[in-house]
Amino acid sequence: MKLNLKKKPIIPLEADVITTDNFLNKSLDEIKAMNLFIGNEIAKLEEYFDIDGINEKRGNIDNIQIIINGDLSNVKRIGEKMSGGEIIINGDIGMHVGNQMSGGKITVNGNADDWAGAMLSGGELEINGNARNYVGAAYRGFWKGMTDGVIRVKGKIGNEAMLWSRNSKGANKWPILYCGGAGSFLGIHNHGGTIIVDGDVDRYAGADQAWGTIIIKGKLLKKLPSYKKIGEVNEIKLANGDIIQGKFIEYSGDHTIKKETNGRLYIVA
Amino acid sequence: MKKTNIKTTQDVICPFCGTLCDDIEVDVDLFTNDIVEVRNACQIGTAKYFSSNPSDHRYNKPMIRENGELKETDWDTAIEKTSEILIKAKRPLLYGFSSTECEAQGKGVELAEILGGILDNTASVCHGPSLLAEQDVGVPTSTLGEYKNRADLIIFWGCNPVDAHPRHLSRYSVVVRGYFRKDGRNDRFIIVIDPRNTHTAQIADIHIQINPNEDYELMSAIRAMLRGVKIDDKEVSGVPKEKIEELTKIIKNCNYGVIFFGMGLTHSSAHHRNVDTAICLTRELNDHTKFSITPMRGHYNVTGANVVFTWNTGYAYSIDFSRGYPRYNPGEFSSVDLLLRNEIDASLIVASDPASNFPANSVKNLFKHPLIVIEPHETPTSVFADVILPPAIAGIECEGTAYRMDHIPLRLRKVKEAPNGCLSDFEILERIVKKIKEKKGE
Amino acid sequence: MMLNNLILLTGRTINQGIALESGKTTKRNVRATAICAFDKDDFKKLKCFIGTPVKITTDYGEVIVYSTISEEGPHPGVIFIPLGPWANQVVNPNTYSCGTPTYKGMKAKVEVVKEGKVLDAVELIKRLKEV
Repeated sequence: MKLNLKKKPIIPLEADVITTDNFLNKSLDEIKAMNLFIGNEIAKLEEYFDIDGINEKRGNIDNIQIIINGDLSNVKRIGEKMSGGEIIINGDIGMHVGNQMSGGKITVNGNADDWAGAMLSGGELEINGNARNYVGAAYRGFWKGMTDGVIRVKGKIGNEAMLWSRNSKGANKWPILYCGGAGSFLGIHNHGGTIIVDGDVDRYAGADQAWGTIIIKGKLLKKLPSYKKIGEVNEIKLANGDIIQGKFIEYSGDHTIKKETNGRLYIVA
Repeated sequence: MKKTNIKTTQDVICPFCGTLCDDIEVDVDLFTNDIVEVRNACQIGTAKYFSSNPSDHRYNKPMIRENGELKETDWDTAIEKTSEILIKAKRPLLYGFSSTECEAQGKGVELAEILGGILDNTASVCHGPSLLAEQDVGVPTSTLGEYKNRADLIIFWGCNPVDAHPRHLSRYSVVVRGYFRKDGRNDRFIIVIDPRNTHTAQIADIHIQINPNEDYELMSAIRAMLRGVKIDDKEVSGVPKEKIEELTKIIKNCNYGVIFFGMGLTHSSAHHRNVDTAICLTRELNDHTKFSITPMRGHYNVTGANVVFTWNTGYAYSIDFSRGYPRYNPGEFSSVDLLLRNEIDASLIVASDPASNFPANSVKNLFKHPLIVIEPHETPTSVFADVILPPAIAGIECEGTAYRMDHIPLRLRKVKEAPNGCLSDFEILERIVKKIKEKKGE
Repeated sequence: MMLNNLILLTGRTINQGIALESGKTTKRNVRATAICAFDKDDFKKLKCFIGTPVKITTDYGEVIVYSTISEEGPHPGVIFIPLGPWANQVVNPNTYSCGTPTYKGMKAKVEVVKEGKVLDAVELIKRLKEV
């Protein structure tokens, strides 16, 4: 199923209706008539998208694949609450892509705006460009954010990624973020998330981390004074069992939260 | 001697800053309806009262821009034009609300809802980060009266009340006698943490001259020390480790401490996370002694705007009604961000001056679209507006409720009549709401 | 004369407060708000008189304001402009998705101007309308 953006919206277009779950078992005509929201007005999906292909009415969400082409940098909320199937976006994407996803895969061949993969509870989000702030973060006022699933960003991300992320050993849930560089407050209020950065990171990494693992394979601009050096290691065993090889300096923190903590920050030696 | 007939009003609430002093006395000459004397207010509050007198920069009649020039008109025409502009808009912004009273703020909520637009107030560029932090980690706080009577350690972090809240020190925080602080200033220990030796720092017992933009690091260090952890670093934020240890010891050993904080935390690059860690520090200090924290709110009723918006919509600022129900997300629905992205196609500015207070690039986009202001005085925003609706000044020419920085509601008084052509903010907004409902056929 | 590697802070002053309540489009407001306060020793390096117009440049813009010596020094390396339309030409408008611009902490450079004057509020804002 292919969607081509016909015209770039001047004010943001909210397209939370474009998900595999919503397209499941719907005819082409039903999809064309779905509602998109632009400012305080409603537009039909076909006003902004040319739709190609047949929607497989096989009732199995994992067979659904939606390919979306165009400059979608002003289109928000695609893939919201998705539970299976695949969405491939060929272009930049607006805010909230893949938010509250519990399964399936979204690939963005471009840059993503704020809140990519916010509140993720499963599935995979892959961004082959940069992402802005709040990647995999909790929405305002929530004390639990990303609880499972994987986010991979090839390029750099902005600030406050993985805000309030929380793992669950008992339920075997290991939220994990890979990125090529990060801004400030990486992993703020982290409760068990794993973050692996293949590049440099700005200030305040691991701020208020209660437990979790942050691995920086580049430079950290400035370490927080509430992190303490433990020593050097030759490999890191992640909470989910994976092993990362390499020489790293190990720090414990954030000691603003606890005197003794399992939280760890590793910086390449 | 000129004939006068002076009416004195006592216990007047000053409509300038969040300290909301309630002991002002105002003399009005009933013959001329001019304010002739103000007693007890600070210089800024006094200036505000006098600014309500007629002058060449006070608007007395509604104005509409025709052929590039602002021309006087009547209320019906101005309200009609306002409603036309707002109804046509796909993403209208209603902004300001901090220098008016609570009933008007409530009307603002109704207007934003029926328009399906964005509702925001000045907290967005001021203490919005403080609210974001409170939503994440809570806030152990109390009232100014409690601080006056009990607090023996006051920390001013990133704020300068001598300049911004002039009577705060003499009414609540420093040079005032309290029930358990009978010796006033001598019963209190004042700490100021600021990159400059501000006027407030100059009267403090300790001034920590922190590096600009490094407040978060210092608070992290103090919090770790409070946990009993010895930090690795010899110096944090330009402050030697020994000094931080000494400071931590002092604040742990007071009877009741308070942190007052301001734009030094919210306007630096860590924004709401500075406040987040300051709140956590306050909370953690309660394991050792008693401690509270209060933001130094700027406008006299910005707290009221937050409170009124919250009890109506669930959210305090940066609220979007475009999907038919209120949604909240600063950064996405906050005024400056919306303007920087040129997402707004019409604005109604109430009791505020964004052209002076917003960064230049956002003001450029504000001017690209129809602009309506409810504003008593000539400001850099109003001179470029398409419609000017002149209000009576709340707290001087009309009554209402305002909330102090510690959330205490106080009743604003009316000390004199408004100029003939002016309506109250509430009435103006009500007329606009009525006209829009009419046009929408409700 | 020019100074580099300064940090620009903005904020309130009591004079700015009185001026803005007395009239935002008045000359009094210009004298109170279109100023930049320098640390005493930093100011000596500029080699100019108090009140000389100076151009402040950051990554986000430039503005000409009157120079003055800070009453709130010493603060070497830090300059201060009261909040208002002049400061807003040079502050960092980015909110980093929290809604509030970054009004404090910009890297700045200062030079004494040979040409150019301090504009009043309406003239300054008018330029934003024309763009």
